[in-house]
Amino acid sequence: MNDKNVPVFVKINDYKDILDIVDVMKQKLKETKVSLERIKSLKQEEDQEIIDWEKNIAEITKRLSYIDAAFFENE
Amino acid sequence: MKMAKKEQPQEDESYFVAIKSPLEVRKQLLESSKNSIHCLQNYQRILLIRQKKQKEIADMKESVKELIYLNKKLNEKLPKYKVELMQEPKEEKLEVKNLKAKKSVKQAKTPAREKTELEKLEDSLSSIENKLQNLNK
Repeated sequence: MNDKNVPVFVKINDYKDILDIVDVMKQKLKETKVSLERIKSLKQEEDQEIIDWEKNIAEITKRLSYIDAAFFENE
Repeated sequence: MKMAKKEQPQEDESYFVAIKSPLEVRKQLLESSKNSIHCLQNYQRILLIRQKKQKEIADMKESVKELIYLNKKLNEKLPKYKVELMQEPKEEKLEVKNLKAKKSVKQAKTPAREKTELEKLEDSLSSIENKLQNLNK
């Protein structure tokens, strides 16, 4: 057995504390995962808004070209 | 004595441009106004989304800070061991030499500026990586 891999012994009080800490950590990790999912979904929403924004700008450009042509085609 | 009347130019002399399809132009104008309002709506929605996102990121930062604290606590509860004892004496000598060399370099340097949050995190990471390397030896 590797010297560094010999078993260690943990005091029973510390052991209980460790279990509690691990439980809290699990709970915190769950919350973090939920937060991360929400951030991802918000990012997707934001990306979609930006795509819509781009579409709207393209539409305005197209319509303005039509109006421009209608007004100045007589020149 | 009669004065010769100058011919006054017509003030309301206006020019008109024909628009072949006025209805369509009007329609396009209204549609582009609609699109402009949609753009403003997009902008407002993006602002709201960013506010929500910032709140979520702040919450997440808090959770990660708590996780770091808990991790530290967990580390404290685990039995201590001395990494130096596990290393070979040759390496120790080398380290002592390196430390001396580093000290002389440090003395020559100008006073250190305050570390940024990122640099502090970078330091913690490298210290953890060192510990891991020692464990894997």
